[in-house]
Amino acid sequence: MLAVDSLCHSYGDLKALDNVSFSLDPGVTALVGVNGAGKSTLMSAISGAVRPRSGRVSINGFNPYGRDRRKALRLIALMPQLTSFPKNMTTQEVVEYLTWMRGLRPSEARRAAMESIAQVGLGPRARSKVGQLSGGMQRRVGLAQALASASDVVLLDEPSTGLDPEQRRTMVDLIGALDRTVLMSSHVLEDVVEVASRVLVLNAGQIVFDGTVEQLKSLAPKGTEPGKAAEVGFLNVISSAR
Amino acid sequence: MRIPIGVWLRRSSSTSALPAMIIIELVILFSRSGWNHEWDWAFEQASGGTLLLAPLLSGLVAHDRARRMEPTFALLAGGSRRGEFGILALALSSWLMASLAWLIGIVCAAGLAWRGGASGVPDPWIFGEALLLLVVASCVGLAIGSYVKGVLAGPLAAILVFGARIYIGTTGLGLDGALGAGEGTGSLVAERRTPMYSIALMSLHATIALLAVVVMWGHLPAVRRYGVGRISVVFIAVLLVVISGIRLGWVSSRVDPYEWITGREVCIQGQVTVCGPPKAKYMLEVADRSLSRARVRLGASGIDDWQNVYVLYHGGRVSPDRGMLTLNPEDIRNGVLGRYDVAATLAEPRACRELFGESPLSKKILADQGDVASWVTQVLNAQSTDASAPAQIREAYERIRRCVPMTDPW
Repeated sequence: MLAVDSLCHSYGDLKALDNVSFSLDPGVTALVGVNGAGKSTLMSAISGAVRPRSGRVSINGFNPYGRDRRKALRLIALMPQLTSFPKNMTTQEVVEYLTWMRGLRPSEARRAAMESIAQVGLGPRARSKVGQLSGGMQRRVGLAQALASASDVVLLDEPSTGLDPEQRRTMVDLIGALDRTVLMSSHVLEDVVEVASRVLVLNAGQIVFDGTVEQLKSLAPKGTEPGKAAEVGFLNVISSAR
Repeated sequence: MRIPIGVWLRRSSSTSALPAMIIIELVILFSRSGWNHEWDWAFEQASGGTLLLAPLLSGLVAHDRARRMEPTFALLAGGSRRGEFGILALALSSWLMASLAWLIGIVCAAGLAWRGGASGVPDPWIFGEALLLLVVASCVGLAIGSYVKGVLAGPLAAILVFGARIYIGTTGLGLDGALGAGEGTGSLVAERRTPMYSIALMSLHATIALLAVVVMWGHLPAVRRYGVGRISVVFIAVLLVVISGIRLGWVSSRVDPYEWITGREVCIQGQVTVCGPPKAKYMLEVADRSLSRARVRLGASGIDDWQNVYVLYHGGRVSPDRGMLTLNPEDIRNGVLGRYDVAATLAEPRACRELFGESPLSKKILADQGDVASWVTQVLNAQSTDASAPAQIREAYERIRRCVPMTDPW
């Protein structure tokens, strides 16, 4: 289980996270917010990559910034928003490297990397250099490295950004099939409705909505097109928070 | 570390730059001659390539850290159990590449020195000094690449490492040899590296590398917080650098970087006898052969009391019965000593006390030596058909031969 308690972070005077608290159980949870709401900072802080100013993160009881950091980091993996890997490395090298960094033994890292590369549909491009892959494929390399370490908690920071409709469909299907605790940030409400059972809305560093997709949809005025209900509900949450 | 080191060995900028590093190493190795008759000078000369290799390595590591690891690798390293090692792997693999270039230079130098007759056991210190200097360059590059983003990181690291070495080299700062390796510029057959000096130098380099790693580690976003722990670690690393710098300053004010080999001596006996340290055996053979031939040419000179025993000075007292061997390895050609060295040796049948101070007498002895050496050179060049020494040359030689000998160690 992932628990976040009173998390605060700032960049200079700018508050990026303001007393954020929630907990997650297995399943896909969407983290939604406008640009600059603090989604990537929250993801990075939870993953153990960016130390927050205050607050606590707990992954199955382990604190990624405490004495049990190594245990905590073994349980969590992040797919960052920007997947700009060294262009002269191959897909396999990138995934193996990052999987090894997460704590797997070399032989395990190799096996897990190949499995996750195949899982995201990049098996035939395992030996291709990252620079030769399309933007969508590079996003899938990012997903592969997050999945390879078989962590209990997977953080996906805007996984479908920059993908064409076909690539987006593939990505959404991959995420929907994950049997782990997944926190996926996005501002594409269509994806959220499709894969997430729960939605967190982040605005100016604060959680302003925590509920199911149906509850978010119910915030839209009656008569709203069913396909637009989640988006309208989200906009209502944002405008009332302001 | 097998996976990340393997990846960077294939993909780092240092790997792409390996041919350039080898060329730099070989150009510097062959930029001067004379080193190929002895181990130590050969290895010093090969390590002289670190003057350019170290800044280049530092720049390449900084570039890879700033441009290839940022932003994704660095972010993920921050949230990974082995993140620090994942980043250090870049420095380590780049260091291996630069070390390979250096090693190729060392192997070339060793091969040529072996062919050139090098003997004795080489000093081990230069190997540690050169490799550790490359570690420093690599770690400094990693630290700079962590803080300076974009294309400026590489040039900045290279300029910093090169500039620091040149600055210390020119101003001294009381830290002779710091950020350098392979700075011996002449024959070392009669000398060896002073262990205390080498240890002090390597300690400074090791602590600088440690500080650079600490600085790099402190920049990881997962660590970035100015807590007591982090500040203490940085403070301790800085303190170690300061202590080792002070120690190097203290050591270099008391001992020379190289010390004479005063122990065992070998003598080569031909028509004359030439003695010196064991590492100079080949050169002593060359000198003996050349002096013997010269003595044959000078048989009709009318000077009957040429010195029969010469020594290549290697510390300690010199017996008054011995002449001083002048030996410039650069001038050895086809196993023959340079003519100037032969002439200068024959013109110094005794180490004269006056030559260690400035007095009218010392100038007179120097002038006498110059006259004798010039005449010997003329005879050896066969420009003089009459090998009989003029009276003033015989008198000059007699004055040198009877000078008051220097009996104290130099």
